[in-house]
Amino acid sequence: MGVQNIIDNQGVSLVITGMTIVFLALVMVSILIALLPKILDVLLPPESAEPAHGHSAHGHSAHGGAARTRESSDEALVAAIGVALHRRLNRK
Amino acid sequence: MQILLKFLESTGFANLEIGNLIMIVVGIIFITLAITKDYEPLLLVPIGMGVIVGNIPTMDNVALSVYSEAHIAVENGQVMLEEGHVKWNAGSVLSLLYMGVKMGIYPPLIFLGIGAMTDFSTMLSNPKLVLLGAAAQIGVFLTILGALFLGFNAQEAGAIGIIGGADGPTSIFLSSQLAPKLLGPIAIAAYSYMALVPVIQPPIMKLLTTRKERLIRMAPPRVVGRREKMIFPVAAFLICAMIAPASLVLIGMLFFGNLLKESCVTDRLANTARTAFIDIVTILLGFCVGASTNASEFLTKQSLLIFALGALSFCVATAGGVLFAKFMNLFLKEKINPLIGAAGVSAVPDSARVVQMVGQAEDPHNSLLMHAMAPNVAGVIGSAIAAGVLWSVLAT
Repeated sequence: MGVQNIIDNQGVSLVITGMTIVFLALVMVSILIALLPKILDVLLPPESAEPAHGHSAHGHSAHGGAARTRESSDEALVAAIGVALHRRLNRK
Repeated sequence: MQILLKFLESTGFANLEIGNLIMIVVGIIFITLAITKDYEPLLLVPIGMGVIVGNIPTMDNVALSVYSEAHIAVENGQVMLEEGHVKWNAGSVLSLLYMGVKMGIYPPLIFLGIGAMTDFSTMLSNPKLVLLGAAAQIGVFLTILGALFLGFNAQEAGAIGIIGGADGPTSIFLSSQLAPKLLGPIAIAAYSYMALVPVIQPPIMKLLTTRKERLIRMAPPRVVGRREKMIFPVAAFLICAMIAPASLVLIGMLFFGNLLKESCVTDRLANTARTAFIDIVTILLGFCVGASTNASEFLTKQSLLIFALGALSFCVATAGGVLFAKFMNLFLKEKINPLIGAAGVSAVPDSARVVQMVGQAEDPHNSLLMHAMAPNVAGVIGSAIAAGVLWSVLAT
């Protein structure tokens, strides 16, 4: 109890060490955040980053392309079925 | 007739003590506050109901409470056998659910959901605000001194101090590891003060800032690229876990959840983590913590001291964040509104909302919410690191 308990348990050292480590970790995170755009620009410049970014974007566009192709082929299929039905009905 | 008398002796009415009655009233107050005042209803309703359930007197011969744990029957140091098998008791259902609290399983799972919910954009757009999340952790460490002064041992002091991190799951995790006996009061104190953030913080914020400071407008945050958001969780995890490996469980799950969200290829997982998954764990955690507050364990002098220290740690953490923001302004060309320092005490997103509320009370057109979210999420990381440091230093 009292100040003696703080001394016995090295309370002040614990506080200083703890705060220092928390600050150190978050200062490093802060530095990382500040440098991240620059590092990315060096490692993955916008021109080359485009395909990488576009890995997802490319993926998306590829998916999008595939989807569009599928969509258009679906439309063609529907149109073909429609034409076939129309001819058949006309024949009758 | 004998059977009827035996049954009557076993009813809650016959065994109810004044302590149980007080705790049941506390549970009802929690539920009422949640419903009428909208104070953290997702937490206070399960906790309140748990408090009521945990304070219904139970019979000695029936395993009902969270403290009726599975055990092997031992007599005179000999394991009892029954038909050749070890005689054992499976414990109560609540005790099995409570294992998730006691063994620190639920908090990391909640962190996974929080990570999947969190958008670090505002923090990424203004990295210096991360420091406010670190400054607010002063509440944690100064409270440890207070707890030691009041006679708690180092492990208990560490578990009490983390209340100042304003993060319920972190408080539960650390107290389950360092001071399991104090888990109930610490968890209730942490969640109660988190719910009371709109009451506790504004007076301190106003007291420590001038009107001119509260009127400071900050430039809108820059747009953050997708690549930065994707790389950040992995890179930040590596930094934090390398510096404080004991924070790995909480920080790891937080950033893992965030990676699920930002990777854009695991939308289903991220969606589950931030909705049904976190809700289920919150229900179990809240209810079990509430049910662990049996009057005989909870209504003690220690609990009162923990509540007093918890309030102190919240106040110190808030003041620490605000004062550090003012300190930063001494060196910054573009001043930051010191009110956002108060959001450094995690309590996501309530403390950021309080900043917005206090800021708009001075200038209704000044929107601080986005800026306050940066120290707010930094506070989550900071409190998890603080918990990791305390765990590694104080674990016996």
